Amino acid sequence: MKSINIRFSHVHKRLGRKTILRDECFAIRSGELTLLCGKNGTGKTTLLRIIAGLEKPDIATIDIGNAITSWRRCRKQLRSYSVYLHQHAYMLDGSVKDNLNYTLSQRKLTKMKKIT
Amino acid sequence: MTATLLALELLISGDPELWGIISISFKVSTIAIIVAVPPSLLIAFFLAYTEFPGRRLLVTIFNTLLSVPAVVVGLTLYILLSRQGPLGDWKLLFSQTAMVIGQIVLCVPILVAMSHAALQAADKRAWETTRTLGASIIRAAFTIMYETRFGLLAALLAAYGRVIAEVGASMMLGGNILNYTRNIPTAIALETSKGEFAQGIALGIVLLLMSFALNGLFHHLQGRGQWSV
Repeated sequence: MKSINIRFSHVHKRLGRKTILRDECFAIRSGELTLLCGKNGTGKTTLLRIIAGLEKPDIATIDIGNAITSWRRCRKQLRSYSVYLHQHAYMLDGSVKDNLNYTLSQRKLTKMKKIT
Repeated sequence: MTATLLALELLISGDPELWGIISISFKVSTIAIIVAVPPSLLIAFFLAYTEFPGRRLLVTIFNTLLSVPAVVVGLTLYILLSRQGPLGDWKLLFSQTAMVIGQIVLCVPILVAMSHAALQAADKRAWETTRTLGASIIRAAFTIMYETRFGLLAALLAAYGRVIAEVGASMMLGGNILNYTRNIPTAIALETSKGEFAQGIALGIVLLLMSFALNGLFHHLQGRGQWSV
């Protein structure tokens, strides 16, 4: 996978009447391990879902590969750089091999690299 | 008892009139289902996985249409397709095409409502997992359909069961013409009104056997938990 730095600025998200994320700014740098921690209901999952391109923030500016853009414009790119695992991961119907091959085929990896 | 024996004799002897009616019935209903399934699945998918104004109203409308009697569908399409009707120029009344249209109108609400229920009940994580693993929207949609295949298959069976056994729309739109638009239910209605029970019983046996075979197949697939054919 290509190494890339991603910077999120002014991330704002409301769910109903509750403001989950308020003007959050952070960066994910290539080669670093980032730990996200906090109390229940502070927006960790929401933030991860935004990073993974699964949940639309109300406002966000994203600097991805030195190009500043909106979440809507770069969500495809975000999805290609990230995988979001649920707390209790969902397995598609089939064997573990089927699940691995599903991912590999979606990531456009050749059959040679697929699990046999 | 005599009528039942006569019915079995008609079936076994390969009576051309009887088997002609059976083939018309299966042909018309199968075409109707084949045409109705793709748009119905698409509508069901949009209703289950997208949010837009009027979505709930649409779901309610499709659920309401489940209970529309076949004769009402037949009457509405009859008015539209009759010579004086807005679609009279198409000259479709009393044809197999008109019967197919009627059956499509009848089965779309069943397919949409039941498929929507199946898709809506699918684990929300399934969609997110497919998307985060890199699947396109279309591929993710097919994956979700595979995950919910038993619910979708139940919808298909219910829809097929309704259209192949309905009398009202087929009678009004097809006209019950022998060797052209006479199908199993309209033939049963006609033969019973004439007091000729043998053919009616024979056709009833075919319908029951078909229903038994389809349900047996469905339960077989469901029992295995995966496609086995």
